Amino acid sequence: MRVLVIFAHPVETSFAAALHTTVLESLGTRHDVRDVDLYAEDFDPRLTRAERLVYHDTDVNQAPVARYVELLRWAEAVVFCFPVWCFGLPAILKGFFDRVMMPGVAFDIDGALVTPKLQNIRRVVAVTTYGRDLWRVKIGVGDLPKRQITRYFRWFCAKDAKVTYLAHYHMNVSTPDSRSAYQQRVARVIRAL
Amino acid sequence: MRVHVIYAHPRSDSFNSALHDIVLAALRNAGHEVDDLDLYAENFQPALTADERGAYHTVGGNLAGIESYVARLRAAQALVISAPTWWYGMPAILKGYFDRVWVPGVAFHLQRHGGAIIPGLTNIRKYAVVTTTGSPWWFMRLYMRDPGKRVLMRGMRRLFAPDVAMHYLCHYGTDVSTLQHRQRFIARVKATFAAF
Repeated sequence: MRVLVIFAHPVETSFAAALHTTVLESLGTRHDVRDVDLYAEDFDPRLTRAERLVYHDTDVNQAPVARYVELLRWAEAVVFCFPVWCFGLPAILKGFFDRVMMPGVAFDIDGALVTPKLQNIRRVVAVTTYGRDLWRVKIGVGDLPKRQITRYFRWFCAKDAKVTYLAHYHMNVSTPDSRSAYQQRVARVIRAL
Repeated sequence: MRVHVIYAHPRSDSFNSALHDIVLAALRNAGHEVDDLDLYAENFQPALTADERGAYHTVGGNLAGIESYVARLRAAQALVISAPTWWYGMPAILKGYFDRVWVPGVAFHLQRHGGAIIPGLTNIRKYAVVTTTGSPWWFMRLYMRDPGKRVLMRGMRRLFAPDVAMHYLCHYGTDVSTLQHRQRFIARVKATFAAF
């Protein structure tokens, strides 16, 4: 399968970086893999004025992010690997959605009618960690990043696209055991792709 | 009252820019002291850096490079967020402001064993969000359950004074809205901030 990995964490020694390595190792050589490390690429998450001006002009809006557009159109599977900060995606990944998932790429828009465009993507996996515990995230604030991936991103993909959302909640009190169990779960799911 | 306004939109001819101007004018008219932070105009860098992440949990040591933003936040008695909702959440530049500036020891204090957080911004006694969504209200509320609203309202509430007054003003369905619809919303924004 053609797999696009999108990774967002600035520190090489972080648990998120370790999970990213687990993802790449578990994909192995059986797949055609493209790895986008947003921090290493120094991705600028800010949708600019110039981009916003031509946002709906599908002839030219893709130019500043053409490489990412090409990768999204190429992929059959997408694996997101990121931590949850302040109840949301890290700004650098949020900016990837703001800037790349635009009209003509992720969807076509005609008045109120919006049609999804990334039918090539049939499989989506998220690998993430939360500082807080599950019930505080879910009941308290509604788990925004989970909805953004499992409901919204998925909506742009193939109709029968399968989404797996893997999360280690409550990192603030995690143990070596809980982290290693989670890492093994990630490896299992990725190996089964 | 000292009101800190945090604004994020790249276009000065946008509906959000107009709403931002209306908020500022209404607050000043009502006699408030306004401290306006325009993240795009400041060229704010939203990506939390490796050094910042390394120092994130070191209270006091995590303030390098963000001192002025923290000082402005601590000097405020009220806070207003003026920004569009993109992808069901705040624009990346605003998300990055929270990632980088609302750190432990500023916005909240963590307890050692993972209990409830202790609020860090009890100086904030009034709080408002002025935002827009492209999607209609029924889609945002019934299907998506307004996750952006929950973060900005419920997630934030516990960081402020216990009796904080909260307002969420959202113009839904902006993709297909009419002038009349937008004018009604503007009137609502004006009224809210005239009485803030």
